[in-house]
Amino acid sequence: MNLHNSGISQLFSKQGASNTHELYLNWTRYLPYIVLIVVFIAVSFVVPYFLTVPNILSVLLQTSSLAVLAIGQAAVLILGGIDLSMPGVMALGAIFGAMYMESGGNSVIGGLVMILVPTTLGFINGVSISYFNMIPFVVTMAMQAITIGAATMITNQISIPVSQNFCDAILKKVIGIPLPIIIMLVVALCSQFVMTKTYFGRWLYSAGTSIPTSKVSGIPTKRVVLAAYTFAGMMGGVAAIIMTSRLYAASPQMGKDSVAMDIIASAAVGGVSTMGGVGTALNAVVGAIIITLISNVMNMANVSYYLTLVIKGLIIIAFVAIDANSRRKLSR
Amino acid sequence: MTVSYLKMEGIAKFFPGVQALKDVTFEAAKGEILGLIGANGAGKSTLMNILGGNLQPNAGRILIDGKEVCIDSPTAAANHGIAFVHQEMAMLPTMSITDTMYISSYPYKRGLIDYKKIHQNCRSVLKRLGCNFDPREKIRNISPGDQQMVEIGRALLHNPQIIIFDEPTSSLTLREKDHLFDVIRSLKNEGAVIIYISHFLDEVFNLCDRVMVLRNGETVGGGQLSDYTYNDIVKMMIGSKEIDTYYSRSEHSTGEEIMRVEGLSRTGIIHDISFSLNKGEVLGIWGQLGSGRTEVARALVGLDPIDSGMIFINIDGSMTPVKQSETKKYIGMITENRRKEGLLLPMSVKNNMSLANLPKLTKKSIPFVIDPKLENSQVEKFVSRMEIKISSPSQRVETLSGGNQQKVIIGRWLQKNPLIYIMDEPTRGLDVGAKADIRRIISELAEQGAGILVISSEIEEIMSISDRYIVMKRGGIVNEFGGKVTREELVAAATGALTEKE
Ligand SMILES: Nc1ncnc2c1ncn2[C@@H]1O[C@H](COP(=O)(O)OP(=O)(O)OP(=O)(O)O)[C@@H](O)[C@H]1O
Ligand SMILES: [Mg+2]
Repeated sequence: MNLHNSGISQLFSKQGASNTHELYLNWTRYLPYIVLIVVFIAVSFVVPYFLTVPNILSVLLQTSSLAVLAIGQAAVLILGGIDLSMPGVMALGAIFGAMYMESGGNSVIGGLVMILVPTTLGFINGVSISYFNMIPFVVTMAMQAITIGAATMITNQISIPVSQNFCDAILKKVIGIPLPIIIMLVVALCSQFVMTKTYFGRWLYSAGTSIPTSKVSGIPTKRVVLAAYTFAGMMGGVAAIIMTSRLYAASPQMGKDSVAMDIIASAAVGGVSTMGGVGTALNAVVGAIIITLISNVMNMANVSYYLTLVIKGLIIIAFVAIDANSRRKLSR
Repeated sequence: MTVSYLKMEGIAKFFPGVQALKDVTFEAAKGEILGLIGANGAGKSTLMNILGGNLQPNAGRILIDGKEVCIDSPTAAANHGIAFVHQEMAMLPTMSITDTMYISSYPYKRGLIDYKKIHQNCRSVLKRLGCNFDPREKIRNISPGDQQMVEIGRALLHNPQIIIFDEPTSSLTLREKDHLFDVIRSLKNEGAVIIYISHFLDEVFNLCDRVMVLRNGETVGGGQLSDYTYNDIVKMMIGSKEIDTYYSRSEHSTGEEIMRVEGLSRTGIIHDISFSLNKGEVLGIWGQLGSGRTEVARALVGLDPIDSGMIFINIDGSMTPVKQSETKKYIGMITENRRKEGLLLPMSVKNNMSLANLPKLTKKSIPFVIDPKLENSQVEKFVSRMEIKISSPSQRVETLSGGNQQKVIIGRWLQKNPLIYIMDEPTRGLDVGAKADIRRIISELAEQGAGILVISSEIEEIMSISDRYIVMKRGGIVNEFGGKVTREELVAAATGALTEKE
């Protein structure tokens, strides 16, 4: 897999990285990897034994749900949209699944519920945005309000425990690697493949770059929009399963608004453009690792929750500014 | 001998992968119109963008009135009295005319924009251009021709001494064009230096005093226009390659019906449009700008809504009603507005070229997965078929010259090879050689059995390729002609001198 690609035009060209002018114009696409390395080095100075296999696995395990969410967000951002409802949708899915299992339901179906509920909600987002021409920001913000409100009402703010079996099954280690990490990798690789190698992916980037041009060229843009939001919902579902297992419970806390910021920050820091048309699933994963590391460091340094918010907000703005600036230069 | 007011000397410009300009030198005097011509990608826009402060040259210097100047931004250019009417208009549809014209130079009065003053200025500048609309009008409410006038008005606001026109006439009606020429001549008489870029050589001959020809980024000739013939100029532009710029299609028969339109209407825009198109036929839609011709094309592919009407397409031998939203499957559409609806500007030439055809570029063994080899070979095939000037297939399409961008769009549809083509101004921005080539391609497509609908503002063009014509006026079809129609009949029908068809 070609790690240094985030500009779509490079992904599809043989010349790719060897084409000097693309390299020269697009240095910013290496930024996420540089940041990742810098953060890694910085953290390993601060934290003793950071660069050990168990420790890295634990960081990746922590990253897994955020990464999956960021991949879903990436699809929507590439399309030129935004999904602010991912946390709420995920929490509601988790809660429905957990309630089903609590009432004696089978854990496989419980897991399915956790995926299907968010997928359906994502589908509703998609229909509203594509077929009813509503603004993504407004639709998904409303969806976040609805889902988090519903989740809180249903649970009375009490978390719903899930069975040990369910959690053990999800957290099981395969060749020494916790399953969530493997899920994250599988999801990332499949999404990466669809985005970069299939024509659905190409449609996604085209629609994210120009809806009118895509339409004239015969691309079913409405269906592409619908698919992207539905996929984002589904990723909310996958994340719901991972999160619930790691917390041994489903709770409305999972869906607080600030989670949306972590998701968007991951995508943006990883190199997914918030203006559409640029980025891949792998970018989202890299971004999620960076954000998780930064959160951990701030946690260890006892930085207050509110200062953490300020810092993350600044990070988003910084990266969006770099993105916007590099685009402006490109169009010279 | 006049003294030159403007001199550009030894200008060179490299872009990654291409040298757009090599050592270009020219002079222009006050009170003269210099025609700047050359094939697509020759470097005309690049040269003028350097003069306009949008690009920095890698070598060379610019002298104005004998003094070397540094033009490092459009603002600096404006301060040196240089104004630029761009090839591709960048209009903000929801802004007012005034705002569009003053966007980069609002005058303030006590911290507030002095709208009273600028409305007045706009009105007087527009009046000079012969436009009487209210400067408070929103851009989206005026025609493309009027938008072009606003763009020109913007350039004239600050009494420029050097005015660059980069293909200004492509969206103007005949009347507006004549009027623009009058304006340009009067600017010339007021002592401005005018640089005029156009692919319409008759315009150049009509308007310009001197000419400079660029080829592949080099000056290949120039001088008083009166010393040259049309053919001399074409030869200089294209080089040794022999081309026939007067392509005209031979008579031939057409096949069975391929598309039929019945009663297409949209209140206030088009009404009761009915016609049919046959296999192997080129049907020209003729009419003035604003006659509804573009709107019909857009309605046919579902870009604009319709209130009533049916579209039938011959699918596997039978005429089948097709929903407006589904017609795109069978129709290749080249829209008038290439930047907005034709191109994915920040993406590669390759992505743009295969855009319409992706499902057919998949691997045989794995569904949905694009076969890079197949895609590359298809792209290469149509890049060379259309003679598109690119440095590599991964070049971003926004860095291509205007004419080459248009070729990318045409190449995209040739690759897809649909049943029916709708071409709205297919040769806009193309050089004389490429124009002739497009006519040849259209003719070939028809011979292979496609049905083709062509809209063009150039009567010679539409007459050289069409088998049949429908003439539109005020949103309706007013007449139909066979291949034997004369130019005068067409013009008369579109302007209303002939009696209207019942
Ligand atoms: N930003 C850029 N990056 C790379 N190449 C560029 C860039 N801008 C222009 N070029 C290249 O420079 C060459 C000259 O382009 P230019 O736009 O000046 O042509 P032109 O003479 O105006 O053609 P046209 O008649 O088609 O408008 C073209 O080959 C084009 O691809
Ligand atoms: Mg040009």
